[in-house]
Amino acid sequence: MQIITISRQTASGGEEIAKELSNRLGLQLIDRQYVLENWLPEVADEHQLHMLEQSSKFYTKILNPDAKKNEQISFADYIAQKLKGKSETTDLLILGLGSQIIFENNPYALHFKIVASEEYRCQQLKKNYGLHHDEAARELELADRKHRRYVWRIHNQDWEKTTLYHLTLNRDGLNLEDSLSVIMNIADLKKENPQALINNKEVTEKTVENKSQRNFGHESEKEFAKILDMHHIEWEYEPSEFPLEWDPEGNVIMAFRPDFYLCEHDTYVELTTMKQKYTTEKNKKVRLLQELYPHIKIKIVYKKDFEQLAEKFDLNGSEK
Amino acid sequence: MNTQNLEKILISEEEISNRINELAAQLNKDFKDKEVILVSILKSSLYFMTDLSRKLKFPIKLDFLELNHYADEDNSGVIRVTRDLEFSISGKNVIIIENIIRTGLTHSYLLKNLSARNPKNISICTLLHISDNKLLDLPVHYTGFEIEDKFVVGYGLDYKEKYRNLAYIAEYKENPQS
Repeated sequence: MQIITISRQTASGGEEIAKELSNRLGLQLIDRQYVLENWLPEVADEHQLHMLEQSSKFYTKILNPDAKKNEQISFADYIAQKLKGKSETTDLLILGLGSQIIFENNPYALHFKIVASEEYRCQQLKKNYGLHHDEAARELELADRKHRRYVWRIHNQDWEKTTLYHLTLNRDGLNLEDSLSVIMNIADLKKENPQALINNKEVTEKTVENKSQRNFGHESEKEFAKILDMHHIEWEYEPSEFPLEWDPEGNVIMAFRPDFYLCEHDTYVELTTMKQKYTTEKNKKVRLLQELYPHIKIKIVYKKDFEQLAEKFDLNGSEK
Repeated sequence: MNTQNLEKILISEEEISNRINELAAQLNKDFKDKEVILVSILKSSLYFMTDLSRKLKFPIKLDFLELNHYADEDNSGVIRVTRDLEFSISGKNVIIIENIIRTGLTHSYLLKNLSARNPKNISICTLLHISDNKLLDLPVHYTGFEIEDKFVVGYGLDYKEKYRNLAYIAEYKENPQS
């Protein structure tokens, strides 16, 4: 299931981003108010609910002191359990609650932080609540301290640590639409490549292939790869070879290795941007491949088609 | 308007109108009593969206999406949403209204982007379709006209922002992409 967490500085507009994002992406929005109204009344009495509204420290209190020692949990543990349980059946957008740490190691979770300058935030408080600048600045200081304390007390983490988040957005330069567009694009990209942040985890050494530095056989292939990257289309370069002709002893005497394989479309692509005699040869091979392997989908991109594409996307279309 | 750079008219105003009536009849049958969000891909599909949507009899909401390619210094770049949808499409029937599908590259991104928002289903309705040697075979559910791979303008399609407001579709004299 999809999980997006949003942490925000007070009056940075994090709430409006969260609300709009949950609408657009169809995610259930869970914030402190939701938890106080729907989850905590199951385990807290009226006094405890009042304290939970007022004090971050109260979240560390044990909610079931009569239970066995190893079964005792705090209100914060209870919220974490509920969030994890809910995330198994529902796409969630969680605002605050230390959720960036609760789902830190979840590969399907994306963590965003929304910030803004003090000037921007004071303006918002002035606009929304009619506070004077000094009052607003004081409010912000208190609220930020409260956020920081909550995350520190419950999760022993500094909420300002930038590596807790995939991305931090500064609202001074990004309006609501800009911010939503950035977040939605990342959410879209990461859907195909879920990966947890590696805070506090051992990093496994892995050689990641740098596609742009790969040695392509021809400049046009490099340009074509850029066009595919531009459209977020996953590709592999020359991943398979298809035998086309065999001698009487069964040795392969002719084979064909298409230039690209587009994984999501299960389609091979062969570029023929070279001289005509090579094109004729390639056409023959493609025809043979289609005869021998009718289930394989292959497309030929001719010189003219490629140059049109390159022109359209301002790439180097000419042969080098 | 200076139409010296245009070749013959490929599809006349009347032909467009008749075909839109036929497409609307088909859509009215397929989406009878269903609620649908029509997503127009700006700017080229604006006229098609306007004319088609007025013939539809099922409840619709109109929304718009604009995509753009950004090139970086090293000639690489990405396609991005520059104007996003107003409505949530989660759990909704969506029809993408497009003017032309050429390579399928843009539509592959478009489908990926919109599918990520969990719509009930997505159909593609395009006025023009160039199926000849299309790079990606994506499902196109409703097609106005199959045309040859030529550079065309009019009825929303432009050359450097010109000719969009022609009531017909014509071939541009020199293919600026070749």
